[in-house]
Amino acid sequence: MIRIVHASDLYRRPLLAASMFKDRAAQFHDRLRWDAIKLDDLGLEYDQYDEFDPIYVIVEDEDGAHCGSGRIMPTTGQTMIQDHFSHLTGGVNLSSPLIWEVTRLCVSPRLAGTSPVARRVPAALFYAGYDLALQSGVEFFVAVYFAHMNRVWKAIGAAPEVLGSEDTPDGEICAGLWEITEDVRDRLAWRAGALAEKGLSYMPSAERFDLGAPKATEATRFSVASELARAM
Amino acid sequence: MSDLLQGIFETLPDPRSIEDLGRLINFVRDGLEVEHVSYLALSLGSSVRFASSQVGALSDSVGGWWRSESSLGASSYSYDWSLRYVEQGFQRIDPVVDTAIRSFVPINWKNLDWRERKQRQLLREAVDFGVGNQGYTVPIHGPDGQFAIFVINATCSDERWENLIKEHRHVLVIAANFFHQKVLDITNVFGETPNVKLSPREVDVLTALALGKNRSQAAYDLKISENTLRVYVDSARHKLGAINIPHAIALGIRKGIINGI
Repeated sequence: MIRIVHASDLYRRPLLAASMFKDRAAQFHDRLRWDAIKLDDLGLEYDQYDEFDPIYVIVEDEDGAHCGSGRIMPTTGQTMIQDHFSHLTGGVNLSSPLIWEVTRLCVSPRLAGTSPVARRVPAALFYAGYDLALQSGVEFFVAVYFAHMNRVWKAIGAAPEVLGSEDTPDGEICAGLWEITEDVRDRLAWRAGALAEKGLSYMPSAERFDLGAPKATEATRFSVASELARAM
Repeated sequence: MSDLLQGIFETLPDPRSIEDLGRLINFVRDGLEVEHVSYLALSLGSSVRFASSQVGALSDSVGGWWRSESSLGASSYSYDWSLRYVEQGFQRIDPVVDTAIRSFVPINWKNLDWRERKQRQLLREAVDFGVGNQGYTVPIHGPDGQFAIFVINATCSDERWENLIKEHRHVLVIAANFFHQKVLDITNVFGETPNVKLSPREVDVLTALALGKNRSQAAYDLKISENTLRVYVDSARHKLGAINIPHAIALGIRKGIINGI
């Protein structure tokens, strides 16, 4: 199951939220040992950007736990790339409602790197992100990532254009640019395989409610207003 | 390039008063062939408080505008409905506002929870007042707690509405942000508009386009990819408060940011 969850709705999925912040701690603190990463007293990793109402794209397992995730924010607000990495984007503070930033891409360390699910998680996350962006009229994603991820993007058929790169004590980092197109979205769906076939679960979403659920057949398709009028 | 955005640039790039917003509303309404276009700012910044409540007519006799305390709205809705919405404080129970305030993605009203009694009542009244059975809202979040919504409404089938949104979602995001910028300019809440600061690369790409180069030529000359050029240009456009690239170039020249032409 791929979930698209607003920060303000995370509380509805406490296990999912806790396991995501736990897995982020494992990936960015324990494994990659980034200096800037701080954990709270429960060993969870979150930062100031988690408080700016981002949207999380999350792959969830059958038990409702986190398998992988990414964080999306519009570049019209405060972003990591503007705050710390504008030297990788030609000195330009990228800022437009048509450009979103992706950060904290994470695959759960619980999954063995070679497992079928683990290999499909990056494609599933990007598939969901592309779908949301397309629906929202957004044209580009930007992200800062370690150069070794270029292999992953290439493997899932969504290689970014590299806007800039630099060597850091932790390794080479890149600023990447993804153009959002339906072609790539569909390719990602195919790479995500079974994870994408179940569809996307949006929170808040139509699925939570009786009205406007996509199940309605043509014959039962009524506007919200007329349905309500009949109900009352 | 969008005809609607180009039309706004050519005819209404710079509304000077709240009344002028009526022309913009009319233009978008006709361009998209929807029944209503509305804008509602619930906060124009944490320190912005209007001294007095006020209501007024919009130019071209479309709907009306109102402001009270920190909020400001302008809409083609019937005056009666706008006033009722404000007087009743419907924004406190409106699921559109409740969702938009914590989200940056546009919202098709059909996907919201209208099941509770209060919400059903609100929806029924809205339909009675001619709002229409379909709605789509673009949230706008700005610095210092700015929060506004830009809304289109129509009466049509779900299918037609989804197609209309799909066709125009990109234009709607730009129009919404443009409208918000114009309201900030008109209300002058931040005093003199601060000078726009563009980075050298943003100036380079705008200058190249101003010289009449097309995107691929400009990208080639600047040794960047075409998509890189597109995001630099779009950042410049957004920072200048422009509705499209020709508008960004015009503003860049007027503000003295683009030189040597």
